[in-house]
Amino acid sequence: MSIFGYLAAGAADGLGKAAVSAADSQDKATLQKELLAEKQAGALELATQRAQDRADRERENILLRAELGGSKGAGGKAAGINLFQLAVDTPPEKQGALVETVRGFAGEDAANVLSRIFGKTPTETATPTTGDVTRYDRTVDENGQSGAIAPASATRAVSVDMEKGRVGLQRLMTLVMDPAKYDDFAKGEARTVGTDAVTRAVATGKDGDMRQAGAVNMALEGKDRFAVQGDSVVDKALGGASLTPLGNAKAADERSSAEKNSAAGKKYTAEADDIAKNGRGRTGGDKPATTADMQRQVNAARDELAIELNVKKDEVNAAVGSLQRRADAGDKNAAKRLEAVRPFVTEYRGALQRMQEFKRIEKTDDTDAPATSPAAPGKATAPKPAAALPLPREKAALQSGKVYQTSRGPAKWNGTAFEAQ
Amino acid sequence: MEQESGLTNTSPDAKPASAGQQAQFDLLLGRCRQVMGEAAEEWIATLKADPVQGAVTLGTTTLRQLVGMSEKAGQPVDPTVLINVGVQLVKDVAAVANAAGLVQDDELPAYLKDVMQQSMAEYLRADAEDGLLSPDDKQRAAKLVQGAEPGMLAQMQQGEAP
Repeated sequence: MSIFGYLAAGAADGLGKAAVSAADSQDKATLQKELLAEKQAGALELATQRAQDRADRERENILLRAELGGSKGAGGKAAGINLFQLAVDTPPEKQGALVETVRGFAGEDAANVLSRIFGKTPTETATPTTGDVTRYDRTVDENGQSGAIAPASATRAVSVDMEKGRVGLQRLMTLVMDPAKYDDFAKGEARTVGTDAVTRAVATGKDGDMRQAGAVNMALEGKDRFAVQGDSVVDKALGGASLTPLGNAKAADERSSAEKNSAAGKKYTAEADDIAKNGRGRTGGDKPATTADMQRQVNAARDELAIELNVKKDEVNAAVGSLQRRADAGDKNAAKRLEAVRPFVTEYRGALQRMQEFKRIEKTDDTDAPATSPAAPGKATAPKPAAALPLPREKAALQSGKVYQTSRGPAKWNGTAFEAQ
Repeated sequence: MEQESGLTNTSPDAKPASAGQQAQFDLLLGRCRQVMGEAAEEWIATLKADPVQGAVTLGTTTLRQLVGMSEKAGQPVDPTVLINVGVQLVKDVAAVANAAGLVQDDELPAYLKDVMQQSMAEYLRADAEDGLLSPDDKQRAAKLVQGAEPGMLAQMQQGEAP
């Protein structure tokens, strides 16, 4: 409870007493005067007793000092009061208390001596003069002249207190006259605080001060300083932004995706460059087809057939031809044997054919004119029909049913192999 | 002693205040008003309970507290300044009570007199209780309470609350 709450309670108690007393103000004043007279008589008696006690203490201290002596001694005698020694032994934070203690035990003169030792301005209690309504201390200067301490001059602090006091009184009046406008009054005061903050910030010219003033004004106006925009939290007063937890997670995902796309992009770029460089598609796998690749397929198929026939690699064609002739002649065993190795024979012949076609396509890429292989010695070349199409660059571009100009002459592509026309 | 609400002392014998006195007056009055403003609701509630006793209790206590703090700070309050601050405070409280409808216009002179007399009596009583009152002040204090001395009471009646 504030001090004023207790005071209000005390005033309420006084109400009960006042209620039974005379309502007339003159009677109240009479009662007050009687009470004051009684209290003053008691206070006078108390003050007299205190003065008497103090005088007694002074006499005792003098006797005590006389009895104890002024120097440290031995043989059971206690040391006397040595002001200088006390001053040396007392730490700075306890000097004030020591001065007061000495004042009580040894009087004003001793206390003032100790104060001068400590470098403090000694004080003395002035006898209240006529007109004084309150007791107050006076300073004693070097010449022993006493005087009241000059009050604060009309400084900035005084004018500020004046203004604040005026505002305080206005607040009280506002609450009395128009309680509904009390909030408006408070808002006005808040506006003043905010304006003062901005004024100070403008005077310093520092960017940080301006931002702080902005934050102060936003708080006084009840505005939200922080705002969520998308996945970011923006500080509208001090600037800057930060990601919300959700924003951080999204950013992490996007970074991860970007890294993956970057790696994939590099890979695809390399492949595109490769295709552009070589100018043909693939036969399968990651590497573009070459003649060597085709030859390897032929050799692999031949080797497998040789193993099945149990002959050497270079005897495969002869062995297959012999089996074919014997099967045609009615040899059942040869026919059965030929039937068993037929898949291997088909694979071998297919690899051979693919290699031959591959070679023809390569030869076509190197020349723009339709490929015309030089005629073999002793062989006569048949005349080429004008309707034959030139071979495309890629095998996939061959159209089934179309006649193309091959090295052997016009041939029809049946989707699998060329058929001589 | 001039201040915004007019002269506190309208007596023909009034002497102009020194710069130091004026500054101390402004400081002490301003702080008293700040305290009143900060405890506005308590003031209103107390005045509504008893306009006179409430003003005396709160006003005297506020002023004595601030005077004591000033003394402890090494700046004792000039007695003349103290009286004038008290006069102005009583005027301020009377204005508040009048605005609140607690004291009617025709009751203001009596209200001002009652509050001033009882405030001084209360102040003196508190000082005596604290052992701050010298025997020489007793007679003067009695005169002040009785209003027989043309002092601030006459000033109070002349310079009524705004």
